[in-house]
Amino acid sequence: MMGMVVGREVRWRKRAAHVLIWLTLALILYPFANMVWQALTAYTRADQAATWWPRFTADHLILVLGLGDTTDASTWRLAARVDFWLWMWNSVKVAAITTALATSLALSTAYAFARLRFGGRASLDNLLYMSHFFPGMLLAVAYWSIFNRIGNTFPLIGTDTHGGLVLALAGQATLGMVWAFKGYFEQLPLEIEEAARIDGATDWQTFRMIALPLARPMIVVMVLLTATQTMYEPVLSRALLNASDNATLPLGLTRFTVEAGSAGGGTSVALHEFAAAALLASLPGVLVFLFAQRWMDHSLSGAVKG
Amino acid sequence: MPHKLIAAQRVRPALPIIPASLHTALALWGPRVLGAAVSLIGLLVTMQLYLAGQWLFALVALLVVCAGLFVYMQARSSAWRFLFPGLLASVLFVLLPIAYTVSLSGSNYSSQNLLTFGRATDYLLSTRYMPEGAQRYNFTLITDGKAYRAVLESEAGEAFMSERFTLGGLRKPVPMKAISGPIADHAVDTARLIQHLNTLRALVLQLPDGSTAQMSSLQRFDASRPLYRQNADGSLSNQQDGSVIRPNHQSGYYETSAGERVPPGFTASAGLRQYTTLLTDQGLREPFLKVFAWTLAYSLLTVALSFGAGLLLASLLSWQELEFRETYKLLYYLPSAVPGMIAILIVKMMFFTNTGEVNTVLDAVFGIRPEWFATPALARTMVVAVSVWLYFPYMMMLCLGLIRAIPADLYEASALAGAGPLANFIHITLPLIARPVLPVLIASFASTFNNASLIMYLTEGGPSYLDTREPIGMTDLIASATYNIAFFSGSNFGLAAAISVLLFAIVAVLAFASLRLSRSRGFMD
Repeated sequence: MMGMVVGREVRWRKRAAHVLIWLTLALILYPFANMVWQALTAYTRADQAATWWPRFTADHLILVLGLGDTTDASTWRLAARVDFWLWMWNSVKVAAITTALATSLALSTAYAFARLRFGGRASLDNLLYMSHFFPGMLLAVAYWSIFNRIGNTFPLIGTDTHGGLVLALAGQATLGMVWAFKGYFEQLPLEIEEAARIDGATDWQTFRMIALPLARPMIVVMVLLTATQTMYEPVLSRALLNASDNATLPLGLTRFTVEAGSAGGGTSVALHEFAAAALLASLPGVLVFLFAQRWMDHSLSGAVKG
Repeated sequence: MPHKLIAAQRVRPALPIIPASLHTALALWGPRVLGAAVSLIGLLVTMQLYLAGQWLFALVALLVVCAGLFVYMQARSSAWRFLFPGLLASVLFVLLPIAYTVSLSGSNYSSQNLLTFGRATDYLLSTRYMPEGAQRYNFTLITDGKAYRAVLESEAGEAFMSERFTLGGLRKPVPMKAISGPIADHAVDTARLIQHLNTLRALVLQLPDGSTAQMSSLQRFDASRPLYRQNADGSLSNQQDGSVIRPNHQSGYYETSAGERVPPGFTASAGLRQYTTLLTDQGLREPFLKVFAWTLAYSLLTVALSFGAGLLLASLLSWQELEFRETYKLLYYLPSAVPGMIAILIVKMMFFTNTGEVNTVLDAVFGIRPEWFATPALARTMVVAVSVWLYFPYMMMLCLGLIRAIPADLYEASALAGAGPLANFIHITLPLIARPVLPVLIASFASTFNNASLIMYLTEGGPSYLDTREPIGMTDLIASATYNIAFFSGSNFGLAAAISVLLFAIVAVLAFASLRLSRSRGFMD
């Protein structure tokens, strides 16, 4: 139907569209390409002649991974130790416990919101919607002082502990998961559950034997997404954690400053080492994202059968 | 009907190898044992909290246990058993902290007034002083098997040795006896002494004459005495100079009769003082209003610009005849894979004055190298630019979804009528997208309005205002300013809590507006 209108004007419009898209894509993608580039190239030393080709090196990755001290005395020295594996371990630990806690609290609640009848359901539903607007940062002061007050009795969840951070993150994670699972349960085919109920299954049996197995792909996706979100949580971890041994990835990545005086003016950040660390640190998140992306598309087709 | 039953059976997991009787027993008793264990732990927590003097938290824990027992044993509707875990999480981790923030905003809680009244009093009662002519002793710690003994030698040459004690349970004063002659040489070296320093500081040695001695330096013990004695009316008498200090619940300090404060301070009620300070104090109101205005401008700009850019690109990518659309979408989507805070740190590097790519380009084209982090207007521009950079792929995805939901025949009819792309955009896309997108835009506004991470990782608030009492910078948004006030030098938690409460109110209004708009059904539903 559009065939007759295709002419010069349309061709020019298309070209303009492509150019605009290429420009914005370049804008969006350049910083990340730059990160990979910086991570894999060497510093240009003052005593070396400038070359037009880059010197590729794995030295920065080796340093960050703790496989050897590749610091070159002629470049600058880092002010703080690079404890990549410690940050990664701390992040994974906090993310795993938070996610496990949130998932176990969220599933049955989400099912009730999607399928069961109870008084006050509409208003609780509204509250659930509104609770997403309250960011964790606004609660940071309360979290800190609650942990400060009960930390003497329960040292595991005092200030500057991973236990406290887990509890602070678990609330947001649970609410997010309730919302996501609720949506998923709502669009599962109702007939299977109704058939089970007609057979005399209780709410719990229907949930446990029918809804949960059907939701398994969604649970996998949500667990992974929540875990990566908590792994890189930037605000509460910065407010609640202090000791360098407790640092998670976001806190660790801010420690690539250069020892005073060794950089000779200019930047205070060790660019190449930081880029290497950022590249390695974002790998788990990127992998989960790509994996979850594939599941999001296929999760439904497997569950629903006419 | 039968095929549905088969469907139900197919998803039923295979029963475990446990025999049937054991299985039913487990099904019957498992939940009960679990419930009993959980309630028992809950009661233990309650008791621990109560014993620690945290009766408020103890009450909360007790209420949680009772509510749990009621829901799982008594309540008729099984729906509440499903709801309980999630509701518990939102009450404990969200509602309780909100309520606690409100109560903190009515107090003077800060790094100077951190302790509860009871703990501040205990601290004062545990301070000691040296009476005139009090004995000083050289201290040696010697090992005796697995236990230890302390040896004190006075300047006059008297020597005392304590009974055996272990470093684990030093609660009571350890009695000492006078000794003469040389001491068997098992002295603990200095390194080990330093290792046990904190334990040894708690060690009280009781000399034969009834006086006690405590550690004053690594190798010295003194016959010091408690500085304060508590009187019946709650005041403390200074044993050294005879003065009396009284708790002032207005200022949160013990004060002398002359009104001098004796640290440490304690947390006391401040009424509405935090709010009135915020709105009337010259050194605070000005910067607070500036931060508020900048936060408003930042959020509006970010949402408007990223939505505008997102909508434009989404319209382009919805153009059926454009080549490579799917590839483009994938490429736009790709950066979302990188965690947000890492993206912020990466893009931060690009704005560095000497090494950043932004200035390399500007230098090549215009011959300028602006200082992005030091110049206020530039720093703010950078913040908005980075924010739009972060948000607009998300906005684009959102708009793509909404445009896809617009019935295609509308465009076909309009094309037949000879309308161009611009007319389509204004008369079809925009009006149809407006309704479903509005609640999402309000949510985005609320999240940018409360954004803290961007500032914390990009500029850390700088460049800073020079004339403020609190550590606030020119690019600080309200949330990051609150973070600075709470977790930097002064740690003014009460003030930070008061600002948080104001933000709660704003967020609640936004959330309610978004809720109303999303519940009024558009064509999307």
